[in-house]
Amino acid sequence: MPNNKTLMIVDDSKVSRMMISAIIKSTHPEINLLEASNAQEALEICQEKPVDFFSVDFNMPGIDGLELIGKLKTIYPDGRFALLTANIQDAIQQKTQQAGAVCINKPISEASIAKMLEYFHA
Amino acid sequence: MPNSIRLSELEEDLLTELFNLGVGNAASSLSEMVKQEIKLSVPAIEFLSIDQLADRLGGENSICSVSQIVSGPFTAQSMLLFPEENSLEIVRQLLGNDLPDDTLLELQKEAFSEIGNIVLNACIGSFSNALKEEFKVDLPIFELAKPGELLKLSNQEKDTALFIRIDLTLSTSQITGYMAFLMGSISLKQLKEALEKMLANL
Repeated sequence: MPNNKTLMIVDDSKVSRMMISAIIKSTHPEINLLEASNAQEALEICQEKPVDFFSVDFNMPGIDGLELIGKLKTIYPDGRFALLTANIQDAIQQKTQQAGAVCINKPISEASIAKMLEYFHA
Repeated sequence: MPNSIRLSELEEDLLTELFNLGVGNAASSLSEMVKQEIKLSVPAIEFLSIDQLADRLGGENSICSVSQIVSGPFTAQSMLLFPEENSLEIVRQLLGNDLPDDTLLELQKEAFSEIGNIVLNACIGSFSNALKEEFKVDLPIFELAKPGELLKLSNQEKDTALFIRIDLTLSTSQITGYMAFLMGSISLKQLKEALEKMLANL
C-alpha cells in the first residue's frame, strides 16, 4: 500500500500515546503508527523508518517537543508537525507557529485529533 | 518568626479572580476528561505553617498527588490531590469502563499524572496569559503518601506557606479532590510585586 502515510506519536505519557493511537486507529486505520517516549527515541526511529506526520508532546524529559520538531524538520523538511500539549500559554502557541507547526491543546479528544489529522492532510 | 509578607485586600481580590479564571479553565479540561460536570469551590487563600498545611491537605489519610513546579515571575508548587480510595475511579472515568481493574491499576500512575499535567497546566496557563508572563512548567511528579510525607518530599523549607486551595467535585461520581498552590516567602514577595504591577496597569 504505497500511499499509506506513517505517523509518529512522541509523548512520555504512555496513557497519552494509548489515547492518541486508539482514536487514530478508529478514525484512520490506514495510517501506520509509530511511537516514541522521548526525543532521543524519536530521532533513532527516524533513522530507520520514513515518517510523514509527527504528533509531538511539548513537555518531556530531555529535549522538549519544540526543540525536537526543529531537529526533525532537518530530516523531514516536507513533514507535517503538530505540538500536542497541555501547555496553553500564549508564548507556546507563538513559538509553535514560528517553528512551522500547529499547536493542539490537550485533553486529547476525537475533535482535537481530527483537527490534527486535518492539518496533516491539508 | 512568622513571615510578615501579606497581600493587601485588593491584591487578594485580584489573586482570587486570577485563580477563578485559571481553575475555570482547569475544570473545563477535567470535565472533558472524566465526562461529567465539575463543581468548584471559591478559592481559599491562607497563610499557614508547614504543620498546619499537612492538616489542611488531609492529615493522616493517604493522598494521591500530582505536583508540578512552576517558575516565572514567581515560583510555586502546584498540586492536584485526590483521596487514594477515589483515584482509581478517576482513572476509570478517563480510560473508560472496558479495561479490567488490574490494567487500570497498572496505568494509575501514568493516567493520574497526565490528568494532573493537563489540569495544572490549564490553571497556570490562564494565569500566565492574564499576567502576560511566561512560566516554565516542570514535569509532573506523581506521589501516593500521607500529606506530611508529601511536603517533606517537596522540600518545603519555609516557615510560612501561602496556600491556595480550590475544591473540585466530580458531580456524577461524587468524588472531591483539591488543587493546591504553595509558595514560600521569597516567591510570595515576587507574587506581590506581580500583582501590584498588574493593579497599577488597570
